[in-house]
Amino acid sequence: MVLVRDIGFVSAFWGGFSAFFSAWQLCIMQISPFFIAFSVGFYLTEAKHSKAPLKSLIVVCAGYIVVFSIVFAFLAIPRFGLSRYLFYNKETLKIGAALFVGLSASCLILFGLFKKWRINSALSLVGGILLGASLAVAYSPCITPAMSEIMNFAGKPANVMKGFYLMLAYGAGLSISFAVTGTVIALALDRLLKKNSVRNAIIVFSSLVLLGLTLLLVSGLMSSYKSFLVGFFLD
Amino acid sequence: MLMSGFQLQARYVICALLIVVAGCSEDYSPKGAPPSLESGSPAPQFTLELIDGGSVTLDSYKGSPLVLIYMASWCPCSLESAPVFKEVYEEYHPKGVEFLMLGIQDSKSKFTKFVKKKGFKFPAGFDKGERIARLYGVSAPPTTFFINREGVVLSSFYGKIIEKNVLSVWVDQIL
Repeated sequence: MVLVRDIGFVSAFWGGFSAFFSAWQLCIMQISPFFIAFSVGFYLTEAKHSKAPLKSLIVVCAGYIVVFSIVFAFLAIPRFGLSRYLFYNKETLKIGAALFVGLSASCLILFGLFKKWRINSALSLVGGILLGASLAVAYSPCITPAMSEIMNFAGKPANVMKGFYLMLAYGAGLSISFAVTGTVIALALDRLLKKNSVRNAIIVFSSLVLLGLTLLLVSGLMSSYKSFLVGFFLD
Repeated sequence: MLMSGFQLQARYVICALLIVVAGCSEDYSPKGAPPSLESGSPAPQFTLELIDGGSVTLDSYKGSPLVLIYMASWCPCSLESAPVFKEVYEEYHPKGVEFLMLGIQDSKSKFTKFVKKKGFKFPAGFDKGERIARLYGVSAPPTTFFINREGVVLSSFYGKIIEKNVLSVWVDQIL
């Protein structure tokens, strides 16, 4: 009976990436709409001010991918150093995440509807980094088969660090799937929506979705929301 | 000379990576936090309010092998594992093995409904605020701990358990 094995970085990455496009999306749906809302709102806002909105979105996604992967891996394997600190303070961190997401929603409305303000490119990267940290903290993951293998491997003291790096690869796969999907949806909406009023409506809707996440995080109802959402499909 | 946007962004990424390296090497655990739970560690003490009323502590199970199961009503893996836990409980409870289920990352009402719907015969309680889960380092359901008569964690498993034989091997170890 071999239950603990090293699945390797490629399998770990693929486990995270493919989870988004499989039945596990039911679980990931806890945070995926919020990332997509951010991507779409950000892209449509940036398209008003810049000739290269895709470049700006890629910068946001890069920051998101790096930091989501790191925080996700820390929280999934709370067995050393900073990971234990983050794990034990997750509820407090959720308040920080709520503040950032609320601020992002307000910025989207301001920058999206009023042309005289625009997003600084360095702030885009900071935004992506904070979004990555916020969604990793907000997420209550299900243990997918690949995650199960990594967590059980990391459960042995000698494997903790290798397990952490495998979880990092898993988180990178997962966050890249978010980035790809968010970017494709943002580009598609940019092509499809020609009327400025409709684009503004989408920006406001994206902001409202993000404000919804803020409320869930502040009220401590994120788990109840997940329970309701996934239960709705499984019941 | 001014830094280009790319250089500036690269610095942010490098800073993030440095945080990872620092985080891996230092112990920033808050005061009072239990040490990382390894196989062979004493199981952390807890008090859990049961959904049928009353409460249990770890000491309630002193002298008995205990299977501690963290589950959530929305979790597909928890749903898949449920019949195996029920079956193994039927087989091992007469031999003195106790099972206790804790609901995490869930709403209390949904978890209560889940327990009643599945008809678990062993006690279950909702871990409000995931205080007990944090003590055990549990970040996601389902996670199972196998605790022997002396209150020592002999093994743990993260993820679904859908084969009776697999679960039985671990339960045999604490018997």
